[in-house]
Amino acid sequence: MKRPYLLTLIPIGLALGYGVGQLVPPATFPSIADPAPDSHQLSPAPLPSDLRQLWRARFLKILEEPSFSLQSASYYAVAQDLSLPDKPYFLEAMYPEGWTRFRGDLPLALYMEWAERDPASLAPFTEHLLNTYPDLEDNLDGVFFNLGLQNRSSALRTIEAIDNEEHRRFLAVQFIEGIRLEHPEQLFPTRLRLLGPQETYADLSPAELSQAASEYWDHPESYPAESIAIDSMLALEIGRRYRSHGIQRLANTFQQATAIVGSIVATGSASEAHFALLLERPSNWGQVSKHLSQSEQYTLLSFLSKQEEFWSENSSHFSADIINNALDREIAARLLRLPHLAKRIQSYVLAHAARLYSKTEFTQLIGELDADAGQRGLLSMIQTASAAEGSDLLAQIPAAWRSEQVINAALEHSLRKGDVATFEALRSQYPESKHFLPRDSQIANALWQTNPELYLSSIESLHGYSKANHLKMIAASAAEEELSMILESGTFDQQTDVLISLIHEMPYLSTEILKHEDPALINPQQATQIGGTLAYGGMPETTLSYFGNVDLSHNSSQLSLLQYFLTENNLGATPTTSLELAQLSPQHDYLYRTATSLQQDSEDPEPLLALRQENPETFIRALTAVVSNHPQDSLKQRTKRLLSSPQLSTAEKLQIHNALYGAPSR
Amino acid sequence: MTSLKTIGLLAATVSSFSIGFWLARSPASPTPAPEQPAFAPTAQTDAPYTVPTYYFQDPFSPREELNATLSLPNSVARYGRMIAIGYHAARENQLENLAKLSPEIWDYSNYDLRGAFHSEWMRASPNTFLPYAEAKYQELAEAKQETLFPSYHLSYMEPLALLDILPKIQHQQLKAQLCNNLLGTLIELDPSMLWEHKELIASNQAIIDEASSKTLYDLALQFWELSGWESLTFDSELHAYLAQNQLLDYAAKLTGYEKTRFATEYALAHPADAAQWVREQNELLEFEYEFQAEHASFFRKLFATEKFSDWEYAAKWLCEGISADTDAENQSALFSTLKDSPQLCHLSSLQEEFSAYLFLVDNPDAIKNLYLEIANDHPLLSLLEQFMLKAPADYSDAIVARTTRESPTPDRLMQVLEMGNLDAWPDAYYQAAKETLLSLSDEDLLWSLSPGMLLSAQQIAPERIQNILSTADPSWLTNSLHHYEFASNASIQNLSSLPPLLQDLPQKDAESIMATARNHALRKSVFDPNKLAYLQFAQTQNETLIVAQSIELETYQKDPALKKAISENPHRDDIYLAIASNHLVSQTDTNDPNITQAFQRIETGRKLSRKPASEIVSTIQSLPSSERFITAKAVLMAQNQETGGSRSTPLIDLPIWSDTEREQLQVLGFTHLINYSIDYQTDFTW
Repeated sequence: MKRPYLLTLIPIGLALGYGVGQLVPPATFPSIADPAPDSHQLSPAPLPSDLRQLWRARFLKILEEPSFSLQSASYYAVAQDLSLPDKPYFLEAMYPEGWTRFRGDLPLALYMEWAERDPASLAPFTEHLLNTYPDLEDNLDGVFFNLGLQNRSSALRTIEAIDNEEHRRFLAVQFIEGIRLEHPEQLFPTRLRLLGPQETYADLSPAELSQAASEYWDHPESYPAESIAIDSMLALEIGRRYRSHGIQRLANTFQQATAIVGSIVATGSASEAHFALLLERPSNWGQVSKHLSQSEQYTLLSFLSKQEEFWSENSSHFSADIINNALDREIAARLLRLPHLAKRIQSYVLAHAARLYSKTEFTQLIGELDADAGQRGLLSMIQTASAAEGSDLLAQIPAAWRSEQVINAALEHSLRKGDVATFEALRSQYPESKHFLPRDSQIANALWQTNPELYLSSIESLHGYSKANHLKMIAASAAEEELSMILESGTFDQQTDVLISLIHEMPYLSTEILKHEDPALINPQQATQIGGTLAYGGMPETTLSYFGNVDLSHNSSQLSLLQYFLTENNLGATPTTSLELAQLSPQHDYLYRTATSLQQDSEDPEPLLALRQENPETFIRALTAVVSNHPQDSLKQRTKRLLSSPQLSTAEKLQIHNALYGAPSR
Repeated sequence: MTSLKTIGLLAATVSSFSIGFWLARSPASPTPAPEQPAFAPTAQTDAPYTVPTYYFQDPFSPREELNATLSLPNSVARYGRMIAIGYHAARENQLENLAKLSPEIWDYSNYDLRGAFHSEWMRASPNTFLPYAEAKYQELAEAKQETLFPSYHLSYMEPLALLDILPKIQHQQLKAQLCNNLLGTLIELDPSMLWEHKELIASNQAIIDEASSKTLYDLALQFWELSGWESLTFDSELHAYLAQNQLLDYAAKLTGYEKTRFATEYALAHPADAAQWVREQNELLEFEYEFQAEHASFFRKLFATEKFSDWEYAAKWLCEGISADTDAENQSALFSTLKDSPQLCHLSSLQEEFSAYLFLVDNPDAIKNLYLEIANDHPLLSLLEQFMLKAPADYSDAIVARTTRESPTPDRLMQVLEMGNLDAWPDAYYQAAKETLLSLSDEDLLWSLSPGMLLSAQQIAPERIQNILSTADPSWLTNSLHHYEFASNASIQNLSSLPPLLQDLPQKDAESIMATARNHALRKSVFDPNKLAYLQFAQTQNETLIVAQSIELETYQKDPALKKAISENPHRDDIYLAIASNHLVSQTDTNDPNITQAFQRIETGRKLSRKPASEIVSTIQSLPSSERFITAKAVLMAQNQETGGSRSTPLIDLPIWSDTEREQLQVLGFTHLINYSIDYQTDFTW
C-alpha cells in the first residue's frame, strides 16, 4: 500500500467519527459535565453469570499482552472505553488477578473514570466490594491513596457518600495520606471535610497552621464551645495573626498565655493586662521555642529582656534554646544587669555572651556582677578561648577572682586542647594549681599522656577509694607495659580494685595477676566483683582459666565463683560456662549446686538443709553472703524458715540472723 | 517497516475517528441523563473483542505526543498515554528520546511516563541501561531525590529483565532498593521464580516476612518448608494463621520462643485443643507473663486436662494462669485447682501472684470458702489468713470458724505477727494465736521471731518475750531491735511496752529507737479517724506536725473536741498551717478565723516560695515583726509541698530569729521535710 492513499484515511476517519458521534444516541456515555445520575436504585443487583463470563474473557484477553507497560496503558484505555453500566461487571470479573498489586493501575484507572462520571454510584459499589471481598481492603487502600496523590475531588465525594462509618474512615485515611504527600495545601481542608474539626485539630501539622488558624477564627462560637483542641503551635499562630482579638477567643488561660507570646513575636510588645497574664500562667517555653523562627525568638527575647518582672517570676523555666539563638550584645547586657535573674538562665547568658564580646569587654561586663556570677562568666570565657588566651585572661583579672575553680578550669581546658606548654606555664605560675586533679577520664588520659610523673605524685597522698579511682582512670588509658608502674603506686587493696576494673579491657593480663594474688587478701566485696564482672563480660576462656586455677579453699575464691554462677544464671541464656566450671572439681560442683538452689523459685527450705549437711562451713558462708547482698524475698522467707531448724547449730543460726537483720557491713 | 507504518496509519485513522467522535459528542452537545438504570449491561455478548489501547502518529515523535497528552483534559487518557509514550520512546534511541521527554519526565507526578520509559529501556537494551541507571541513581541520590528513580516500576513492569541485570549492578544502595522492590513483586507475580533466585534477592526471613505482610500465609509456610524449617521469627499474624487453622505439623517445627508465641495464639483461637497441645509439649520457653486475661478459657481447659496436677510443668502454668487472669474471670476454676493441688503451691512466684490475685477477686464468699476448705498444711492457707486479717470486718466469721476447728500453726502465726495491728483481730483468733505462741519452746520462739514480730508477740505474751530477750545472745538483740521492721510495727497502743524491751541497750541507742518508734506510731494517724488520740500523744513540734499533716479540713470542722484540743495545743499555729496546706486550692468559705488566716498565710507562702531565695529573705525581713515568723513557717511548709524545700537555708539562717524560733524553722525545713517525703513514699502494710 502507498502512503498518500492511506493518509486520506485520516480525514475520512475524522469525518466518519464525527458523523457516527452525531448519530449514535448518547445515552450510554454520560459526560463529566452532567449532573450525577440518580443513584438511589444502585443497590448492586446480582450479576448474571453469562455477563460475568463475558467480561472475564475480555479481562483475560487484556492480560495476553506480553509487555506490562503496554498492558498498563491498556488498563487506562479500557477504563475509558467501558461504559458506566459495564464497569461493575468488569471490576468484579477481574477478581482476583486484576486486583493484584502489580496491576494497581487497573483498578486505579477504573476508579478515576467512574469517580469523575458518577461518585454517588461508586460509593455503594465500593461498599459492596469491601463486603464481598474482604481481602480487597489492602488493594482499595492503595487505590484511594493514589486518588489522594492526584487530589481528585470526585474521589473525595465518593468517600463522603460511603454509608458505613468504618469503611468511610478507612478510605478517608488513605486518601488523606496521599494528599499529605503531594498536596500539602489541600491537607487541612480535606481533613476537615472528611474527619471533622475535633480530629483535625487534635493532630495538626505545621503545613496546616495558617488554614487552621483562619478556620478557627471563622467559628468564634462553635469551636470554643466544642472544646476544639488548641496546641501551643496553633495558639501561637492565632496570637500572631489576630493579636488581642484572637487571644480573647481562646478558652483557657494557658492557651491565651501562649497566644500572647504569638502576639509579642508579631508586634514586639504586649499590653499590660496580657503581660500580667503571661506572668500568671507561664508557658511551656520548651514547646513554644520549637515553633518560633529565629527572628521571632529575637523579637521575643528583646521584648522580655526589658521586663524586669518577668525574670524574677518565670525565668528559671525559660527556654535555653531561645537564649542560645537570639542573644545579642544588647540583650545579654540587659539580662546580666537584672537583679534577680535565675542562676540557670544567667549561666546560659554568660556562656553565650562570651562569644559576643571581646575578652576585654567581657571582663568588664562580668566585673559588674557578683563574685559567683563573675566566676561562672570567667569559666565560660576560658572554655571558648584557646588555651593560651585563657592563660592571658587569668593574668589580667583581679587576683581575688582567681579561685581554685577558675585555675582548674584553665588547666583542664589546656589539657583538653592538648596545649602542654600552657598547662606547664599555668602550673608554675599559680601555686594553687598544685592540687589540680582530673575529674573525668578524658582529662585523666590527657594528663597521663602529658606528664605521668606529675599525675602519680599528685595522687600519692590520696586515700582509699579516690586514689583507686584515679589509678583506674590511668590504667584505662595506659599501655600494658605501664601497668606495673601504675599498680606499684597503690596499696594492695587499690591494686586489686584497679585490676578488677581492667578485666574488660585486658582480661588475660588482669586475671593472670589476680589469679596469683593471695586470696586471703581479697576482700569479700572485691571477690563478688570479680565473679560478677567475669560473668557479665561473657569471656568463657578467661573464666575457665581463672576459676580453674584459684584456690577454692579460700573464702574469697568461693565467693567469686558463687557470684559467677548466680550472675550467669540470671543473664537468662543457658549457663554453659557454669556447667563447664561445675565439672572441674567436687568443690566447683558443690558451689554450683548451692548457687542454683539459692535461686530456686520455691518456699521449701529442705534442699538448703541438705546442702548444708554436705559442707556446713561453705554453705553458711555462701548463704549469708547472698542473703546480705541480694535480699530476694523468696530466699529471705526460706532462710527465715531455716532458722527454726534443729539441725543448725546456734553459731550458724547467729550468723544467718546477722545476715538477715544485721546492719549492712562494708 | 512498511507494515509497521501501515499499522501506525491505521491506528492514526482509528484515533482520528475517535477524535472526531469526541468532537461530535463532548463539548457541544448537552447529554440528556441516562434513561436506563445505570447498571444495565451495554456489552454485546457476541462481538469479537479487541483490547483498547493508544495509538500514535507515524513517525513517532515523543515530544509532540507528550505535548498533546499533557494538554488532554481527561486524566485517565493522560495517564494511559504517558505509559504508552514511555514504552514507545524507550524502544530505540533511548538517550535521545529521554532528552526529548525532559524535563517533564522528571516531574514527580509523571511517574507513569518515567516508569514505562525506564522499564522498557531496561528490557530492550540492558547494556546501555545499566551504566545509565547507576549514574542517574547516584546523581539523584546526591540531590537527595532517590524517589524520582523508578525502581518500583522497574520491578513491577519488567521483573524478568531486572532479574537479569541485578547481579551486574555495582551501586549497593540501588541494588538493595531494587531487591526490595523485586521481592514485593515476585512474591505475587511468580513465587517460584522468587525462590529460584532468592540468593540474589532476599534472605529467607525477609521473604517470609514479606509473604506474611501481604497476607500470603500459605505461601509463607511453603517457603519455610522449602528453607528446611530454618529457625526464623514469624510475625504474630502468621502465628495466628497457624493457630486458627490448627497447622500443628508446621507448629511442631517451631523452636524456642517462637513455639511459645504460637502457643499464645493457639490458646486464643482453639482453647481446648491448645490446652491438649501444651500438655504434649516437653517444655515451652519463657511463657511467663505472655498470657493475658483473654486466655481465660484456655486456662480453664488446661486445668481440666487429665491428671493436670501430675504434670511436670503444672505449677508454673498454674502460676501463669493466676497472673494472666486480670479480669478475675477464672476465679472458680483457679480456686478449685489450687485447693486440690497443694503440692503445686510451693512456688514462691505462685504465692506472690496468688496474694496479689486475692485483691482482684471481688468475691468474699469464694475466698472464705477456699479458706475454710483447704487443708491445714496447704501452702496458701497462711496467705489467705494474712489477706483476711487485713480486713477482719469482712472475714471474721470465717476466721473464727476455722480457728475453732484448729489453732494456727506456728509458721502461719509468725506471718501474721509480722503484720501487727492485733487489736483488730477477732477475739477467738487472738486467743488461739496466744495458745500457739505459748506452746512453743523458748528456743523455737527465739529463732522464729523476726524483728517485725517482736512487738506483736510482746503484746500477746509480755513476760515470755521479756524473758527470751533477756537471755538472748547480745548480737541477736542488737540486730533485732535496731532493725527497721521492729520500730515500724509500733503503734500508740503498744509504745508503752517498748521500754522494757530496750532496757539492755545503751541508753543512746534505746532513745533513738524509741524516737523512731514514736514517729512510726504517729504516722499511723493517716489511717485512723481518731486524730485526737494521736494529737494528745504527740509531744514535740515535729511529732505534732506528723499528726497535723494527716488532718483533713473536713475532719477538723466536724470534730469539736479536736478543734478545742488544737486551739489549746502549744504548736497550734503549725497545725492550722498544716491543715490549710493539705488543700492545694485555698478555701475561704470557712467561718473559722484560725483556718481562714492559715489559708491566707499558706497562700502568701506559696507565692513567696516560687521566688528566689534572696527575694524571700528580703520580703520576710520587710514584714512587721509579728508576721515574720509565721510567714516564714508558711513559706517552708509551701516549699516542702512544691519544691522539696531545697532553698530554705538562707531563710532559716536569718539573724532575726531567736534560738527557739530557728529551731522550730529547722524542724519545718528539714526534719519535717523528711517526714513529709516518707508520708508520700512509704507503702504502709498493716
